[in-house]
Amino acid sequence: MKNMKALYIAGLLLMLGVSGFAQEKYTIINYPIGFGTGDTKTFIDETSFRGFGLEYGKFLADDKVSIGFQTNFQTFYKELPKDTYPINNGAITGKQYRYMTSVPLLANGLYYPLGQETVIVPHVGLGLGTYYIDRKTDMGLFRDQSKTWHFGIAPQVGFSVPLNYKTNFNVNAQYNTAVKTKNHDAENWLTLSFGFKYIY
Amino acid sequence: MKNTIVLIGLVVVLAISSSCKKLGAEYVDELDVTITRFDPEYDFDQPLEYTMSDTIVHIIDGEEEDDIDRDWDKEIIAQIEANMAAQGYVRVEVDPNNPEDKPDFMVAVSIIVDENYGYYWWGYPGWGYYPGWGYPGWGYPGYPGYPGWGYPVGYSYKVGSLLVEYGDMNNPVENPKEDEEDIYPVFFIGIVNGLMQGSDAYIESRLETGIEDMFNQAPFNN
Repeated sequence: MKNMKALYIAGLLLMLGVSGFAQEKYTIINYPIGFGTGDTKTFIDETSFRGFGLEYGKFLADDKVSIGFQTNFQTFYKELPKDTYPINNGAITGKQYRYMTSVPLLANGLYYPLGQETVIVPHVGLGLGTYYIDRKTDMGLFRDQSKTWHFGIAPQVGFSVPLNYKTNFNVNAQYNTAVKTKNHDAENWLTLSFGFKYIY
Repeated sequence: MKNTIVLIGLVVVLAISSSCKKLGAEYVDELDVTITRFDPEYDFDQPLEYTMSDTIVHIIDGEEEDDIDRDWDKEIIAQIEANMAAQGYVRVEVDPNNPEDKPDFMVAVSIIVDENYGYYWWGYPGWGYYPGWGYPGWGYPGYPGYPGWGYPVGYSYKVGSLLVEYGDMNNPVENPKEDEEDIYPVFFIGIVNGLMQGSDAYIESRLETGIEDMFNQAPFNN
């Protein structure tokens, strides 16, 4: 419930900002590569090349600040070879398939210290919102699955390179933290995203 | 603008192509599992005598079935007996004239087969059947409202489980059903589970592997 409250507040701030001060808008479409850390890495220690990201936002304050909304999906996957795994007073032998899919819904605020008129446009930012996490383990015909919503925070740093007056090549690194809930461990991963920012 | 669309298309293609690698099991035997549970209080590390029937109970779709192919029964029983002997357990016959002279435990072997059915709608994403959609006269008979795209595809699959259970004959417990014989509490259960698909030789080989896996697990392999 607290997660949803935070999301509503972030969304409200976003809308206020957009309607009050907005000038140019942007859309980013990117390809994120995920690197698990912490509990996520313990569960799946493989890099994720399965993802897709979208971001929409507006510039404020002489284009030195932007606020926006970001979502994407990222799926981590690992296939474990046939082995024997202990269970309570017993064991299970077979191949194991592990999945972790995340869909963040984040309100983003970005700061561009050099503005938008330089050859390379660096930025730092912070995303706040909620993460939908679908985590499952398949063994044989059996599945252990959890679907949870987490409050999340995602600082990021990156840069864009203008290709023409509207299109930028965009690179950013974002550290995603979906905080621990009562029924689920925290999930943490770093995404390195490559894509294009279209300003209009 | 044209370049922008091309570049954005490039990102989309990259994301989609990287997502096309297969996930999950590819072959039927990759879905096989062997599970064991045991009573940690029971002392498995002692020479014990047991009894085991020469026939396997077959339960098909929830009903015990006698009129079936029993080709695998003999091999399964022989393989279980060989593994039991390797653990130091001796198979004995129960003398009906001397019911007090019981072995330490009994081994019950059963096979459960369940057939599952279902169907999915083949067609374009999101263009399936929705109640009330479509136009009168469109679609195939039997599918009212079906707009004419896609069609249902039926499938069925059989799931088979081999169960090996040990009942403690030295410590029978009262049957919860009144006026019936005491029952032997189960202190070990092993299950080989998988899809019953492929040739007989393929299924037989997977069963053999599953039974070996069962006896390689605890408590036999502590």
